[in-house]
Amino acid sequence: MENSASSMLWIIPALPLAGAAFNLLFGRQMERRTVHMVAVMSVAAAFVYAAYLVGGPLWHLFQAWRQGGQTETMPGIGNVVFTWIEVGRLKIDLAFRLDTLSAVMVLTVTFVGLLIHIYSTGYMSEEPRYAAYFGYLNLFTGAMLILVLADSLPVMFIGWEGVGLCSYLLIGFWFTEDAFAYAGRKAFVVNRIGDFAFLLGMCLLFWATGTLNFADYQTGDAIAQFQGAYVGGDRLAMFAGVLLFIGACGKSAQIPLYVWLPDAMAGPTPVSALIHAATMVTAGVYMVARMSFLYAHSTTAMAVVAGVGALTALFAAIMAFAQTDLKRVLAYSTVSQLGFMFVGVGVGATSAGIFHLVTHAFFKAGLFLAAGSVMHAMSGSGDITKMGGLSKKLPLTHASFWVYWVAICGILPFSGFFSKDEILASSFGAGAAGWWPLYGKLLWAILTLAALGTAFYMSRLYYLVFRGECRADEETKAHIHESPGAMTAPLVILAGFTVVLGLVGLPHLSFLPHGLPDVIGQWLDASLVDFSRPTVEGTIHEAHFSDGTLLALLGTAWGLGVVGFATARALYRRGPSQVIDRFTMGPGAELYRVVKNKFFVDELYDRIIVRPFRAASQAIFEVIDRFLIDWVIVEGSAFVVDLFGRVVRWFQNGQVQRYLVGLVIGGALILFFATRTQADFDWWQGEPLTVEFEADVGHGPGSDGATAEFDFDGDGRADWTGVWKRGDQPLTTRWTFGRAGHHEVTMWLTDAVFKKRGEVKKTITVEAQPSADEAGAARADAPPAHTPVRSGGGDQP
Amino acid sequence: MNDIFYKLTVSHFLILAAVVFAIGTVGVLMRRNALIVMMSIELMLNAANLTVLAFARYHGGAAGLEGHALAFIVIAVAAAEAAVGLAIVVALFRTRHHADIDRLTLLKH
Repeated sequence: MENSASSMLWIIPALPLAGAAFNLLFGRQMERRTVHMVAVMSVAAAFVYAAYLVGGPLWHLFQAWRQGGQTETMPGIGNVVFTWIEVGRLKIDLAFRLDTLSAVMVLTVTFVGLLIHIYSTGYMSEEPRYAAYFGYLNLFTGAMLILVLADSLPVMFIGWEGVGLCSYLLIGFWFTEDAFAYAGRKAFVVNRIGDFAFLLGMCLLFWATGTLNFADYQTGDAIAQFQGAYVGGDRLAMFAGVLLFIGACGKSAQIPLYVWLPDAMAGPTPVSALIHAATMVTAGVYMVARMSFLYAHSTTAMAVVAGVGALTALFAAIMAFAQTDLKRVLAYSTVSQLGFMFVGVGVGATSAGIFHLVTHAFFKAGLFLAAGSVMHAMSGSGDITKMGGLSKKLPLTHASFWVYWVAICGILPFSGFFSKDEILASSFGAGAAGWWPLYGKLLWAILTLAALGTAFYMSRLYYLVFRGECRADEETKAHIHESPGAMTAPLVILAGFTVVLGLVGLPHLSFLPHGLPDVIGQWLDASLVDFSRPTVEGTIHEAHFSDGTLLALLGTAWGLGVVGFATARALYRRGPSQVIDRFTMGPGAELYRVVKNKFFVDELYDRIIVRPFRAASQAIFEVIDRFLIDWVIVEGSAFVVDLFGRVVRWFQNGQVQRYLVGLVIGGALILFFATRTQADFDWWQGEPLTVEFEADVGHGPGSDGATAEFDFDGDGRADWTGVWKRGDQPLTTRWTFGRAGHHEVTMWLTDAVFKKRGEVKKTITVEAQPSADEAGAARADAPPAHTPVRSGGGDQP
Repeated sequence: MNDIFYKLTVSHFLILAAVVFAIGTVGVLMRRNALIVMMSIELMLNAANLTVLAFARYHGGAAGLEGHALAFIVIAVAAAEAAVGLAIVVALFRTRHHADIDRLTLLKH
């Protein structure tokens, strides 16, 4: 790796994180000026340092790489900060890497982030929790930079979870409103589902390849694992790829996990622009691009990615038709555009997906910021049916909104046209082994419809907000004013980039001299998998179009934008359309209701997941908590203690006489048991058929002079009688049985004091020829003393 | 069986002692007046003395002397106990104006 270098990359995320630490710890005591200066400057510094690294060292590496054979990807600039975890064969470094892919992301995140920080100083100027807001925003930027700079999946996961946390905090920033807090929680929970799949994918990859570093996934060992059969003949790459993609679905709001993003509009508008349009939601696309070395080995996984993306693009666009909230239209638009990006990375046009990510980051952030500016003017309301005619009152906002709108509609020559067209063209030409025939064409058709829808709903939005008559009430109307410079300046800068950014990714037309340079494509290819490489098996083959086909596709894309725009203009030029109203009131009422309610997906989830889950929780609560823990364990143990308490309280009443009753009864019991005579004997066999017996006369006063009688033959009469006096040897005797086998032996013991006669029966086993072992074993529990056999009553010695 | 009426054995003393001890025990457990309870305790102590002396006499010899000595020790301890006990009862009566041990339940606390 001669073209690799290392540098202090950790500084890039550390700067915003330091800003976050400052604002969250001390921000409340600081003046607003200090707070936003720290926040803005930390992001600006991160941007400047990142730009220096990209423009200087990385650029030289890139040039060297291009002059070289270009057989391998370019490692870029690495930075191992320290070894984070080292257990067995698992070794995770806190390592960052700046290659051409992460460079694009870092510059986008820091630059758009910087503009949104500046915008926030105007938009949030009335906010009481000013420092907390900027602290979270900086924390988000830091986490996002960790995510894009990560050199391995676990480090990426830190950033992945970090941005999820900040998203939650910022959606629910105005948490005193129940609906907002609920929206934050919903985002968090839905993301959690995706994150779990992401973790599973990570574990699967580690299990298979033993590594989590991105660079290692390009090696032959890892590729052999990816192509290995896993379950049911499918490749491991398919399972790992789909699991990781489910994670991306959560973060990037794709079907079926997109439901959180529209609700996420509860957060402040700059947050929607930064997190829920430009950066965080694109993390899934970035991750799939980063893992292109994995996806290249499973056309199935890529088909899933592209298919889900295409469906999301179309359905989100349709749902945007019926929304009447400014930010919600933009939210569905974001979901739809993210679908476009996933189709891009799914059909192997990874650089096209990332290109669209970047242009989208600029124009969608701009759209949100413009929407914020509009809502600022409209006293906070986002209802587009109450707007209209704002173009004259908000000239700067209107002009920049116009640029973003034309860009997202895909009109030449704005950036959205080039990036969207590249994805459309790639999907048109995509095909792979194992795919359905014409799958690429199907994707293209779906995306084309989605693009048409995009042009329509965005134009509808534009006309309803900026054209026609103002439909606001008089009081709101009187307050309409252009936003302060801190808000309009970022709008203008973003608009400027939206105009020119398309030029870095021009389509390849060979009739022009040298063709047109696809700068960003070449730049990104240095870090991405090369789908034409022979080592990559069964890959997507991207068709290289003739100029005619390409021009036709370009023309179609452009035409779609114009058609959508023209339709919306005809319908909404003068405010809400009566044609549409007649349709939604009449024949299309049902359809309208379904679309307006987002195809009832939220309700569906509510029915099949939330409610059963809640019911199960309730059942577990009733059975485990209420019954088992509360009733059986807690109240049950209390009841037992209480019961004993009642019994004991009868004694412990303070009256000496009660205590004495216990004393007397206890004493009597002790006496009874201590002096009781219990008949018992031991036996052991030492010779054939002959067994020795030893009577146990006990230890009480009754044992002195006790009489023991044995009945060996079972006739009920005593065969041997002995009397024991204190000081004697134990009473023993022996008896020779007539045959081997079981015999019942009875012993009676009569104690000396009460003359009470106790009885004990034992069945003993007599053997004809006891082995030495058994004799020894049988004797083990017998007393060691072997005394002479006594017959008849014993006397005092 | 008539022997029990004509021949005095150790058993007679033991039975008498047991009866006296039982009367004393019941008195201690049942009576309410602290003074009567103390008198019952004296009965129990004397019953114990009676058994000690009966066995001393029965065994005779050195064991018998031990028994007599034990009886004297018990009498001495009983005297001391009576002195202390009576003092307590008097003190109790002065503060509470009664000697009803059913109403003396401070041990509960």
